[in-house]
Amino acid sequence: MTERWFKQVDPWLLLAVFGLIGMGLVALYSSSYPAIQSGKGTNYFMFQLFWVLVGTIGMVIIAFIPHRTFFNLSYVFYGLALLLLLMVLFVGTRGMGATRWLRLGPFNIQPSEIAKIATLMAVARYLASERININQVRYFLTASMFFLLPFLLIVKQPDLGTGLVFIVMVLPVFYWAGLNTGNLFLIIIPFLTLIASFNYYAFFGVMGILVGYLGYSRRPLRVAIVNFLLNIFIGMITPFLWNQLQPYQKKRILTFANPESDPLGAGYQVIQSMVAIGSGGLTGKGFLQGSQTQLRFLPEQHTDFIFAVIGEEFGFVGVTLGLFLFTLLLFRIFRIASLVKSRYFSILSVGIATVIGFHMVINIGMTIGLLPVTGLPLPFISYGGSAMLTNLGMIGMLLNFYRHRFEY
Amino acid sequence: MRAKTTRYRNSGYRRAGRESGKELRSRVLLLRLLWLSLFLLVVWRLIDVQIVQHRQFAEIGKRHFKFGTVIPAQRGTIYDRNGERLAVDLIHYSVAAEPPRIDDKKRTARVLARLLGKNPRNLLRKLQSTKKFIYLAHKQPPEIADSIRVYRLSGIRLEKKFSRYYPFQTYAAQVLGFCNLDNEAQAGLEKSYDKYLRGKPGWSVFFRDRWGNQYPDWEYPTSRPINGLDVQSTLDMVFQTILEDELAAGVKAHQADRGSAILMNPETGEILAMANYPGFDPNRYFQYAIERFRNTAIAYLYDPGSTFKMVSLAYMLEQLTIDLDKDIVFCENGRYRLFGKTIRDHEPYGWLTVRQVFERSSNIGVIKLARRFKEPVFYRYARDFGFGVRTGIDLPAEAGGILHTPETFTRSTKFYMGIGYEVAVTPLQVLLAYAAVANGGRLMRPYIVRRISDSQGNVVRERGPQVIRQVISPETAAYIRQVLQGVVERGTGQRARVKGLSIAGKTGTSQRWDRDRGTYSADSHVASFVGFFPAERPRFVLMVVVFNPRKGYYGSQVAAPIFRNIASRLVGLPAAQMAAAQIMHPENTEEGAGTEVLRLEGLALPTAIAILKEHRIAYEVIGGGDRVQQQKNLFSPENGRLQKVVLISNTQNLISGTIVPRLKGLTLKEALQKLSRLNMEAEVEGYGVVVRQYPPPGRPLERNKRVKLVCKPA
Repeated sequence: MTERWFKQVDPWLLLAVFGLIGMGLVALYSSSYPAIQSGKGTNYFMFQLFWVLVGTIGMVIIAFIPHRTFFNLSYVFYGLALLLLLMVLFVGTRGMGATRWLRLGPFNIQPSEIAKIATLMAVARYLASERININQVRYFLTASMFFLLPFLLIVKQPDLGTGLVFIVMVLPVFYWAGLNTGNLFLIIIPFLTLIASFNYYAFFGVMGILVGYLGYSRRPLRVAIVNFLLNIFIGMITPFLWNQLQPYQKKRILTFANPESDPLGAGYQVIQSMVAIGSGGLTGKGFLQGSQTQLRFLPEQHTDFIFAVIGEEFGFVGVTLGLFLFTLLLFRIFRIASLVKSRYFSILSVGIATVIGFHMVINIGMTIGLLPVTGLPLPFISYGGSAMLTNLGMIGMLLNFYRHRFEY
Repeated sequence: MRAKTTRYRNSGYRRAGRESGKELRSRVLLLRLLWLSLFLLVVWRLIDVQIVQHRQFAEIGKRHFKFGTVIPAQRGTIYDRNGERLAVDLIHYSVAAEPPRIDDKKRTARVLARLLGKNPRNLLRKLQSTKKFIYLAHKQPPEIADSIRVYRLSGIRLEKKFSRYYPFQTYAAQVLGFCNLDNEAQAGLEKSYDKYLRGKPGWSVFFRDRWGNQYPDWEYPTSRPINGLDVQSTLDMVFQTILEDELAAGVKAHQADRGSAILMNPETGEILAMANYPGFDPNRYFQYAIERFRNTAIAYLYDPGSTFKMVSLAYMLEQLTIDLDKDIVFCENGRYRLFGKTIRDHEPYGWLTVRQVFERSSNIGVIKLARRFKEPVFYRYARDFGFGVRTGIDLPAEAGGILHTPETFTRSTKFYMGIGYEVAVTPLQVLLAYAAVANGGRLMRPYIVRRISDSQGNVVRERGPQVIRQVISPETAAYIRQVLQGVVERGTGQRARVKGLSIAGKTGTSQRWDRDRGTYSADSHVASFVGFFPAERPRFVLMVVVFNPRKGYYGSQVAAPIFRNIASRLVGLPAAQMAAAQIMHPENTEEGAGTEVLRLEGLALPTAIAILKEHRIAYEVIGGGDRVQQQKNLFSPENGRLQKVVLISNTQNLISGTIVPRLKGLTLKEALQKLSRLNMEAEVEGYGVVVRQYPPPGRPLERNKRVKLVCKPA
């Protein structure tokens, strides 16, 4: 262990992470400014500072624990996470129409955050085994079960947004573990069919692509027929199920997909957020000068919509800087994933990158009106103790992997 | 160590050997491309939102949180020449509530109910509503607003507002004009001087957050309103009330449609009083027909009749070689045919001297003399006296009249014009023509505002006399004055005579032009009298016109007595009042005289007298009150020194505050407010709406007496 320190740690990774955390703290300061000034209300800035300190200490500890501990504890950890998720359903704390938290002394912990990393660890351990070929249906289904269990428990809370994270993690992780492009395609196609089933042309288009692919790839007839029938079935059952829904249920789904159809509810948040970002312009209104932020027109501005605070006060320049930091972070993680000799570390790294990247895309997409409002926080930036600890914990793991990148 | 390594190898801890480096690189590339495409999608959207659509979003944002409030400016006060307030802006407050922001609704309701005189339960119900903003009361006096402020109630807002109040009510109403409910000038002086009176409203921009809390905007500091300038009119309300009262009495006595009277200083063109009857109360303008708002004295056109003969006389004296007492005319015993039409005199006359023709106002005599008139020259005389064009008085909606040009004259025009037909004039034009005779031949520009000043008294604009032209020579003017004096002494104007006062004047009786039938009406007349006094050195020129009198119709019957009544009351006034009407050149005003003047208004009378004695200043006390209400400083015309101070104390003429206003139909509170503005006290019976009052409206309130009000619940 005489190597120079930069061989031990990835400085770019740390720069990206602490750059993002710094931006988050600035935005939180601005968002908490009335509370800081008046002494009334919650000073999220101070709380977050505390969580950053705790998280950084945790990150360092994780970076230095024996690297095989993760591998060994994967399944245990996973089982523990499932247990916590189950507990949430029975003894969780209610808030905002959902039960998401467990009370632990003075803190509320959010088991779905822990479940993300635990699931990734378990899947990575499973897929790392040389016996496993993800392209075989048997292994594919088993691996999928790792994601499905926490997904179901979280959707039950209900927290559809976080649940989706578990679905989306599947693809890059499986792909990285060796899933064929063709099989990847067969996994994606049923989702396309679901969306396309409301329009005849779109539906036949998707089915045409499927048939074309099945013919071209010369899959066994059995596989081709099963896939074809499955998609036909999905295409036919979806409109039927849709019509079975109550009007308020339909409205909820439509609002989810298109917030502007409900300008007073979920749409209100998005409109306020876009006004904040849009009025920020190229260089922004300046620190503490954002009227949408300071006058509280922007909802959930310390958590879900914190990106809009940056957009309003620091403009296009500010948000683009944030996007570059995220890109730097993800590219460093991809680099670690391809550097490490351990397959377990490699898959886990891609999983972590997926979780961070997905959160970021969903959150930013939501604040700029591209994606529905789901309530996913922006990693390292949004206020939230559990998320900050989990995210810094994942960075700690990446640092650990990087230190042991030459080891099998 | 080795065993462990093996275990990990078997379990797949180590990277699978089947992955080639190439495949690995392609997978990393794909992930990176996927990420970059998402990155570009987000950046593209950000460019669209933050740069392309920036303006729209910024606008929406501003609309969300910014709102401006206009802070109204206080309108300037209109004074008469003695400083009486003719039009003032009263400050009042609207009380509003923001129910969600009230901390203690019960206490708030209790306090407000007491202060506003409302039912506490109803008020509480209003405060408990879910509305964001509710008006609780309007038109609350500043005292109430101050009391509310003392309690520092959260969620209660006071909005300062102004409304115009005319203390003299119907007096000079058409001259002053009025402001509508939004305090915007609609007519009269208010309108012509609106530019100065209205001031500049201030504004402030607030931020408003999601919950309606307000913060001042740091980018746009509040701009304070600039209050309007004060306007001092040339009117003298003492004269004005005399004119109005006498005019009203005369119009009523002769059952006429309407009447106008104008009093002017012939030397300067200052309008001292301008009356129109019937009038209106500008405080309640909305209760009157639009017709009542018209300032007939400057806007009503009529054929002047005999008063116009003065122009013919001026022509004859200057253009023809005529001897007033030697040249004689045969007046055809009252009937004379001219171009197929019969001209009549009101009395048959035979041979008359030219002077007699005018003194007795013989139409036939003037027409026969008019044969020698050259049309263009006669036209020029009429024009030079100011007929056919607006006088340029500083009031809106003045009429210019109709004066035919020589090219459009028919063969009969000069004859008819010679006796005041085929020409349309306003009462003011006639007055000005006679003022020119009174002042030695100068046509003056009439004006009604002397001075415009700010609230500190700094003069912004000042106006003095302005001569339009020398119409006739002073000699001619003197001759005409003689003739007009004869009219009053011996001729048709005898009923205008006032004992001890030399008056020069002329009657006028004309048939009204019937627009519908296109002929002169046989039963509708305009009776007028115009004159000036004292004839030797005229101080006042006065015009009285009565439209469509049904009881008598001659100017001599109808208008001359009104003229007499006014003139006699004017000369009967205290010397101080007369002095006020003396020529006031701007450079010779009280302030300009260089003499220090003591301000004694408001002091107890004995104190004021003591001070004056101490300074050895001569004084005169008018009225029997115990406090100095008004002070007049008389300066010597020779050296501009202070000669005498006149202290006016509780005079019984119609100064604001002593006449009981009309209170019937008002709520008790409104009535009490109105009375308190006039410093009157009330004795109240019952509550609700005023149904009876004593003294009746328009009557003066005796000293130390209260107004009795009988109220019934509405």
